[in-house]
Amino acid sequence: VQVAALPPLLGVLRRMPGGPAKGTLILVGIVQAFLDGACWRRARAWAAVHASGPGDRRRLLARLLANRGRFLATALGVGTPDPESFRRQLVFEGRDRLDALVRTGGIMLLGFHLGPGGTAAKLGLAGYVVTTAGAGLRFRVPAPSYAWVGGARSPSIVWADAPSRAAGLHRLSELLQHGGIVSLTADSREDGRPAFEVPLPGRTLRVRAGWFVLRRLTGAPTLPVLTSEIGRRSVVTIHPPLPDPDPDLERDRAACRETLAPILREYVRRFPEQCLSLALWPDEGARP
Amino acid sequence: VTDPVLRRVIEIVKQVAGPQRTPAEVGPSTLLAGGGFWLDSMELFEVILACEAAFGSVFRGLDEDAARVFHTAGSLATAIRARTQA
Repeated sequence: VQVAALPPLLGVLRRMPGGPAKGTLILVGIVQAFLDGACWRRARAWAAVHASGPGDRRRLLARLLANRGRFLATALGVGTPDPESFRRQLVFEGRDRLDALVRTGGIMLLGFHLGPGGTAAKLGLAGYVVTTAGAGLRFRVPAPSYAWVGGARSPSIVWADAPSRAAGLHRLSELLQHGGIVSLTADSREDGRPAFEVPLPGRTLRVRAGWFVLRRLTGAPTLPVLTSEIGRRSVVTIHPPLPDPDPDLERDRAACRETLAPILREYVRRFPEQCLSLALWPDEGARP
Repeated sequence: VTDPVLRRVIEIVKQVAGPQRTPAEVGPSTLLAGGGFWLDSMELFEVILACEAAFGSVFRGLDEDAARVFHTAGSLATAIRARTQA
């Protein structure tokens, strides 16, 4: 229903003023989560783990569910009239880490489905050319509602099945070897092979193997990148690079896990209402 | 199998899939993914890298053709032959 209903809804929203359009998406996100019993239960369980009391739990639940629509609105450019107005809200933390590596060769940015996302588009607005890769959006987006985000977006590789994913990884490896910046998410819902797990309060994050294999293959410095919304600011935090690949596979896995775990734990502690994937997505890896 | 490219491709795919997933009879029509060697995307990526080590950079601009190229051992060998001759 979500996939089928969103394109016509977005078609209507693009003719509305930004504020009401964004408000409508927020409301739709909350109602949809409420009607989806399993999603509602997961959201309540997440809020129970991360809230400090009953009142806080209700507030956290409301903010969590509101963020579904807010983040979608941001990703599609709804409520943000042009790139310049969005650029003014952007804050980059740790940008010097990226700048220090840009001239040395290929760089991999490792993202997660936490916070508002859109790392590549945001870095695109700041002048970096970042190639994204993944399965893309599950629904068709009416072009005009999306125009400026699309314009700001860097090149993308979209894969749909095992052969196209393998070809996409190959293309990414070439880009990295030729000094490009690529952005991959580590926790996609695709049927990817797991690399390792990071236990977090309320949920275990299952990290996929694609980026890990690319990093080992190319030796590209890999910078974890997280996005968050703090007030009206959209913050992109670029963390220090993961350790260089260890020839021993298991030691390498452990080193990456140990580096990522505190970064992710701190994010979950600070922004539990922005952890949509952890709070709302089904935990497929936990199925018997 | 007499064709040297196909023979090498089959060797590579067998090595990536391992003996347990290698069908009893392997030929040009053996599927690389479901119903044949059951390779997943990471294993297909391994095949790409091993084929490049064996035949050179033959997979540039593969994105649009991936499903056709990685259908069977024979289609992969045909693509490599076409790209090495081009």
